[in-house]
Amino acid sequence: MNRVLCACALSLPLLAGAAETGQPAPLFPALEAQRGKVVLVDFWASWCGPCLQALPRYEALRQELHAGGFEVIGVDVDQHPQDGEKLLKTLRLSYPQVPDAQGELAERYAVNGMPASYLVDRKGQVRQMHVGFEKNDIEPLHKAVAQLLEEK
Amino acid sequence: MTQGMRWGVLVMGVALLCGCSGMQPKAWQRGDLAQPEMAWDPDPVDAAIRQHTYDSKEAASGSATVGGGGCGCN
Repeated sequence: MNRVLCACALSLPLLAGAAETGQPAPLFPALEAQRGKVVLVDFWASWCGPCLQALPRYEALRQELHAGGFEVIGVDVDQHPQDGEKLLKTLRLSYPQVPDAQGELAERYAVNGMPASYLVDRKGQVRQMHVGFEKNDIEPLHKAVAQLLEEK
Repeated sequence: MTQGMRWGVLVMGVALLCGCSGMQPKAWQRGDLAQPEMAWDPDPVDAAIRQHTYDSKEAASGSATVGGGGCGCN
């Protein structure tokens, strides 16, 4: 009986599919479409100040490294989707956006702060997770992406 | 009150106390809480000025940091 309980407890994280460093990133159509690329999955919302600082910087990073196989996927967790859409019209970001008003993706990735970003390598494994955003975060992120782009 | 009723009241009391324990919003559900009208102080600058004035007037009795005794002996 104890063994059964232990097995159930150990399998819970697998069932939940939470994103963890070194584990496969929970899949969704937009991410599957970028298979073979280095992808930054960014959970953001229009009401989150640091998210608004991060979005244009991720766009600049994407513009710089896209040719080498880097992509950003924005996941808009605004519960009122029109707020996010309004913001996107002003920012004009070139990378794909996924609406997640119900928070299903955020739940699968076990997002525990905003913004939350997950760097996924070419093989689909989460290599780096980050919560929050400061201007100084871009440089180490740039290095990490460049390093992952060199991996084949 | 019978033994059964006591147990019933106890169970209902515990259930009511636990009722809101799972209501904490997740990180991505704070959109409505982030609205300006949800802030304790809608205008932080105005609140800071009011607090400063209050602190200046009531410093002798500990301002807002000490529970008042009401002795009137400041």
